[in-house]
Amino acid sequence: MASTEPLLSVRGLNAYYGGSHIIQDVELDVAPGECVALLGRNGAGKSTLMKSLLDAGPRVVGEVRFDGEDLAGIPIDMRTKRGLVLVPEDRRIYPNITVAENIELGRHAARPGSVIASDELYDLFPLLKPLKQRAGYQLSGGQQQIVAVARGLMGAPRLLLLDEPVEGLAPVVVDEMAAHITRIRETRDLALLIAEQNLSFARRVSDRVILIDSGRIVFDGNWEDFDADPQLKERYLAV
Amino acid sequence: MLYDIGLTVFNGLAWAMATFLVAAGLTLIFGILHILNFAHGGFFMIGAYVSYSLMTGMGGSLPLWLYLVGAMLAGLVVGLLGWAVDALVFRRLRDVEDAYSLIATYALLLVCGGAVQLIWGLNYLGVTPPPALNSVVFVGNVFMPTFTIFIILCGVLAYIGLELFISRTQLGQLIRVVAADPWMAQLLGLNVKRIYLITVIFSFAMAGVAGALLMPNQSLSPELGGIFLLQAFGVVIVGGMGSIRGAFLGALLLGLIESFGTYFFPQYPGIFFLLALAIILLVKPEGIMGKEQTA
Repeated sequence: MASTEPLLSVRGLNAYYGGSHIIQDVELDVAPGECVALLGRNGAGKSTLMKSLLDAGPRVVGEVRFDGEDLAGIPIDMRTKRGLVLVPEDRRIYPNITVAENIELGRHAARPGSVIASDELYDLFPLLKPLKQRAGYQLSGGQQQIVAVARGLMGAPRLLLLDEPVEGLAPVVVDEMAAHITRIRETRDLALLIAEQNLSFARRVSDRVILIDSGRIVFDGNWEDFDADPQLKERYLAV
Repeated sequence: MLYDIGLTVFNGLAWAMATFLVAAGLTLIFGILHILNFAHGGFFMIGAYVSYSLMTGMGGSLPLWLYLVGAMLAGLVVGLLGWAVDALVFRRLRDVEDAYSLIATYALLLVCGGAVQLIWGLNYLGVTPPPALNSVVFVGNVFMPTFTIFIILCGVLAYIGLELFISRTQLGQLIRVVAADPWMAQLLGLNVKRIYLITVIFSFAMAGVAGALLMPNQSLSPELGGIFLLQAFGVVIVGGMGSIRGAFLGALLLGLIESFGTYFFPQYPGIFFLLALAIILLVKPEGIMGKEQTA
């Protein structure tokens, strides 16, 4: 655990959909600049946990602090504007506006003084340059995912939450995404929390790993510790 | 024969554009907030009454510009009522089933009728159009009241203005984005509540302006809201719920059908609109434009 004050600090977090208790007593910290992988099987609660951090869906009980501030009662858009930005699993690119317009929309989340110039963003994602004028519905899944990440970055996040950014993507696109994330980390001062099932991808981009199973955190540590216990992989990630 | 066709088309256009002026705000609220606002006719009626009070307060027959200023003021008043309705009613309807919206907005319609009775009474009221619009023009043999021409022009201008606003302005784009996926819009830092509020104020203001513009041609009574509401709903349904373009085309289609129907069967006025509505719903239940493309 980094010695600095955590950027994100979660204590006693429980989340419910109707009567279903999905997230159970979760505690986790993310330090500034850190990249944490959140691993777990389908249905383990990764997406629900991410949405809970923004109060964007499930009913949430517990404490979420961001940069020392308790986020209770703060609505989604204001959490986003504080620098806590979620790129959801289903990407949600607006189909009937262009790639450039989709990406511009991300700017609404940016705090004054922390805006990313469009040029800088397209330099980070050169693949997007020729696609700027293409409509959202004309993109492949991989392109949509890259647009979604770029749009999230446009909000100048301090903690970017990526929900399964390489799900369903071809291996070559997964490699591209890993390269993008590495470059983002080199050029921008931000922390990342990445929900994943793709172990090799998660390993390439993250410093630390959190395992979640049935809504509970069952492991939180570095990759060496994770590798030292082969049972973890078998018990919580094997399909 | 040519004379008859000209007159019938003119009457159809008059029906269509008067109805479109009412339907525009109705379809906008449905398209963006997914609330079927039964009270829309009520607020249209309040716009008409407010404009009546302004016009009679200023001495009755007013110059055109004052009549237009009065319409804008009526729009402002009804727009502000929209603010109150959003805060008190619509905001609570966002996460509940449609049936609650129907009941709540129908109740609001009743409240509008009651308020009008309390403030303006039950008597039929009326004013004449401004003198500049109180004449007739002959195009060939066809006799066209200038006030009706004015209403047709208002309908066309309202349509063009709305299309440009929604497709070309930044606020229009944000409204489309929120309509398409409000959850994602929030994740992008958009204040969805505020965009809903702007939409409601704007739609209500349009209802108020429509009431004020159409008022000189109407006998004002507390039933006025219901009459226009039925036509406007027909147009919105035929056009495709939530589509501005659909409402415009639906208004033209139903207006012409009603007008030609009444021409051929003058003993059955008003029935062709309902007949056409029923047939179109059977053949193309999603409406002419189907679901409006948002963002």
